[in-house]
Amino acid sequence: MLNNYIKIAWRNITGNPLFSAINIVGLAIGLACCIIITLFVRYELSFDKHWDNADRIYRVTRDFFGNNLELAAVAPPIAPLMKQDFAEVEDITRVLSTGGVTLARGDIRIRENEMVIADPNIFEFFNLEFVSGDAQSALARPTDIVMTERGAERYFGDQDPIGQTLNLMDQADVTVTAVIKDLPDNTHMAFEIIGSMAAVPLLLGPDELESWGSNNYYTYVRLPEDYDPADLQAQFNDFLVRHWNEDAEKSSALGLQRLADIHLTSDRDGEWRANGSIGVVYTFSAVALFVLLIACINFMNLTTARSTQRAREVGIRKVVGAKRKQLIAQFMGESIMLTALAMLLAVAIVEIVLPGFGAFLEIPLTFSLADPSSLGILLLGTAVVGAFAGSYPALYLSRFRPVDVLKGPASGTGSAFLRKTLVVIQFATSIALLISTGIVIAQMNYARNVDLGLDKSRNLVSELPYFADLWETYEPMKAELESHPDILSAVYSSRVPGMENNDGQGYIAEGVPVVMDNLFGIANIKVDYQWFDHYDIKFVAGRPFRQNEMRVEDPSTDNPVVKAAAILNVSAARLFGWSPEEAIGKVIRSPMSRELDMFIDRTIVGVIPDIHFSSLHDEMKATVYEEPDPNYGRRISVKLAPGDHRAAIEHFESVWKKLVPGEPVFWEFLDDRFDALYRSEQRQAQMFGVFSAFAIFVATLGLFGLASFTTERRTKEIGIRKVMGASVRDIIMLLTADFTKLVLLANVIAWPLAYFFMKDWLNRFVYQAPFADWAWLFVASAAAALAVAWLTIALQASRAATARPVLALRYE
Amino acid sequence: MIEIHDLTKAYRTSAVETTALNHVNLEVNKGEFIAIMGPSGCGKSTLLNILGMLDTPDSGRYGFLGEDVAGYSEGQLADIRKENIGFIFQSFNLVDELSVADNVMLPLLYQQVAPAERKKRVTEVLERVGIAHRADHRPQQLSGGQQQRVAVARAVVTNPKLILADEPTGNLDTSNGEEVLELLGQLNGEGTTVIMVTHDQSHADHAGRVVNMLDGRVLTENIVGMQKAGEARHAQ
Repeated sequence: MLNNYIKIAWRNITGNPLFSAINIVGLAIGLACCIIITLFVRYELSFDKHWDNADRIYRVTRDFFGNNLELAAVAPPIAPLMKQDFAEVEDITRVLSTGGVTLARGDIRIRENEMVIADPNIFEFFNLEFVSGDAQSALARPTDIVMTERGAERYFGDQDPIGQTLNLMDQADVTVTAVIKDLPDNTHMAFEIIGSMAAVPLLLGPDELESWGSNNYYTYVRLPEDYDPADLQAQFNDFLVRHWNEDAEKSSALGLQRLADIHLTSDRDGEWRANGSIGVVYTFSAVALFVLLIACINFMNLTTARSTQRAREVGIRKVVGAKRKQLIAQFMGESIMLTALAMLLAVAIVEIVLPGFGAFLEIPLTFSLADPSSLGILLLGTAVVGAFAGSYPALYLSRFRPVDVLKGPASGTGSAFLRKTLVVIQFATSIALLISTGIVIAQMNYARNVDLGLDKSRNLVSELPYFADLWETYEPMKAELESHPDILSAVYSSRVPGMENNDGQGYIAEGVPVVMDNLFGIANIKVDYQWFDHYDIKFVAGRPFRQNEMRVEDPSTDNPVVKAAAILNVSAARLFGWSPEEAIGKVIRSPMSRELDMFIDRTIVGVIPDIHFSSLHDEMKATVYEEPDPNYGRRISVKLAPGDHRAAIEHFESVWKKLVPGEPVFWEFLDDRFDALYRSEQRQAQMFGVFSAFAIFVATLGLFGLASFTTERRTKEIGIRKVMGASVRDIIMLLTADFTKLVLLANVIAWPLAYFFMKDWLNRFVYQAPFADWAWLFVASAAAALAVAWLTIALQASRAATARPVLALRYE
Repeated sequence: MIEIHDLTKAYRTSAVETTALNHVNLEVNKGEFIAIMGPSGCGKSTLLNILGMLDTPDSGRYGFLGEDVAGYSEGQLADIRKENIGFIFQSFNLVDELSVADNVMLPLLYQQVAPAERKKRVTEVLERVGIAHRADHRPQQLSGGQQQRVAVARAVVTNPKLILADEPTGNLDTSNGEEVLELLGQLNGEGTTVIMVTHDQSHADHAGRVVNMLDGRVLTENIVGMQKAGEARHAQ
């Protein structure tokens, strides 16, 4: 019997090449999309699950309520105090990201972005595997460092690195004591060199490890099995009150994040690096399923449309004794067989496309048929997709009654309604995808071209090395840079636009009692006095800083109140209850000690509008602009003259080499920084685009098949109409009218769907492209879908319409 | 073998109701060869479909081999059908994608006959209808007469108790038609009950009894010899 089924199935597949090709190609594209997305999703879901005890490890997080900070890292005293206070804390470890230091060995000087400083128990905590050296002695001395194999290779090539020294920022020599295996790619952490926590007091000052303000230490805690982390979290407020501040509840809170959840669900301030997003995982899973669904619909539609050709066979089989379930099994089997062919093609497509796709997403995606689980999934996928695609046709075809189908051709109109419904679903899905792609692109363009409130064009930004004295390096550098005709200005700031700014400070209006409760936590940025000119920022009230307003000394017990100037943005002025004009001349005070007995009093000299300092994802923060401070970032922005930038860049590099010799030259364009903010959305837009194209292609294939079938079925009618005097145009109109209605109906469904779905997506951006920027996409998508449908159908229809009627009439 | 009592069947569309069978009664004994005749639309094909359990009546009783099958489910009817009934159609109704041998084998597959036995029976029956040399051809490669012989082979390969033939000669020329009728005659001679719908009086003459239908009713039932005698009396 099976033989008989296979024979029939094979002859049906080979006997109807157009039908088979449409189905196989469509299903193959759908399946390939699904395989690729499955690999992507599997990779995204695998993050940080591989560590020992991953299910019991949590990251400690800290929120500050005043300036809406949700930090991924916490202050350094928290880890030892938690270990001391909570018996349930089995182990706890801290990692401090250095955010870029220079390491040198002879001529090799590398700016290391992946160097961290960690507690010595990190190796045991994450069970990091040693290639040489051991966990006990690895970070015993402040000058010890451990490298991953990849990190070590950069400096030592094939040589044994153990015992070798490297120079850290021209400040100290450090010794390699151990080499560990590289971290896997699927972790939210990123480091290749680990320094010792014992070095922190030497590098960052003796009080650093006691500082509650330095929230830069990623802190991981391991809890007992079957322990509810909420029980620990419930004790955090008391913990903060005990060790930090009795009013802790009002200003800050600690939290716990499951290690394995960080990659897909955490988007905190100061993450190791940009995490993935569970939303993206869901979206692309859905889109891949849509493409597959469209392909399955093609199969259903074309099979039922061709049902008259199979009806007689069904009748005969029933007459000679076939039961309905046997026929259902036969047709399902055929569909699974066709799907198996499509799966072979899909695997070939995946093999070809995957390396490029992985490179595009910058993630290592692998696919091997030798892996039994992959093979199993493919076989299961073939069965499930085949059974799904074949389900409706099998039920439909097996329902034919011999009396109806053996005498004459069956009408086959019973499924026409469903067929039309399915075409509408296909087109609605395709149109919605098309609109969504357009909206993603529109938002990207908006982000790129929106008026940020500052002029970011032709800006080159760089960062002076940590150990260089800010004033000794910056002032001469600025002078030398500005001497070049192609450099318009060079200015200092603690952060440059396009950066996350998590720096902040408590402020209070003069005259208000100085107690914790009255303090506003507000973001601040340290800037040079020309910074506002440099970025062409207009003032709403007041003026920029003057050179003599730059404060140079900190308050002390001898001099507890230091005077300085400040510039606010409109939101910051509003926080204090002032209009921009009212703010001018007012004084804000910021406490500089925990005892609240030393202050800086700043007179407000100007108010600027809120500017888009960082990503459009984030709200424009209330911000206080203050004078330069060597303890904060030491970034410089260089404004280039219009035209060719090469000479200016060369000049910049030569000045750098002269003033910070030995430090690798580092600069980037501000425009690139901003583009990088939207890189993941940019990628999503491209992926969306590709999948939409696939969806539309597969839907068009189906429409082509359906149109060719419909035209064939109406050959005789076309012949008669032509005999009666219909023109070619009349015939084409006749045949396209039906499908036009369907595509229009698909638009009616797709528009609201796309609108609500994309409105939700746009809500990720605090600042969204206005409706007018993308409203036209709805009409354009409709037009595109109609154009594709018309072209497809007209191609078929014109062939039938231009044939001689005598051929058509002889046809039956 | 067959006992039909008060059988009715109507076809309905939204606008009209057409009575195809109007209180029909009929008895068929084992081993009979019956021809059903009548003008187009008289209900003869409907009757044949109900007899073949391809269709169900609206009301009335249908006894087949002593069982009342009128209320049986599609699955139950399929079981009775594949054990007992062979069909031959005017338009042959062969599966184009299968070879002659595969077409004939089809009913045996659904009866789950063992492969060796299947092969043997297919070979025998193809030889019997004189088409064994065409076993590996596809139906479209055969003449109409040859195709109908394949259809006859398929109908008899399961040794059915009843053969239902719906205008089996309608698409054939005279000599091919005669051959098919002879085949049916032979089968009947071996004890198989045959019921045949036909337009053609000369073909009906091969039957032992002729049932004439008009407007969904059985008009007359004549034993072939007696009917001829009746005609002779009219002529006088």
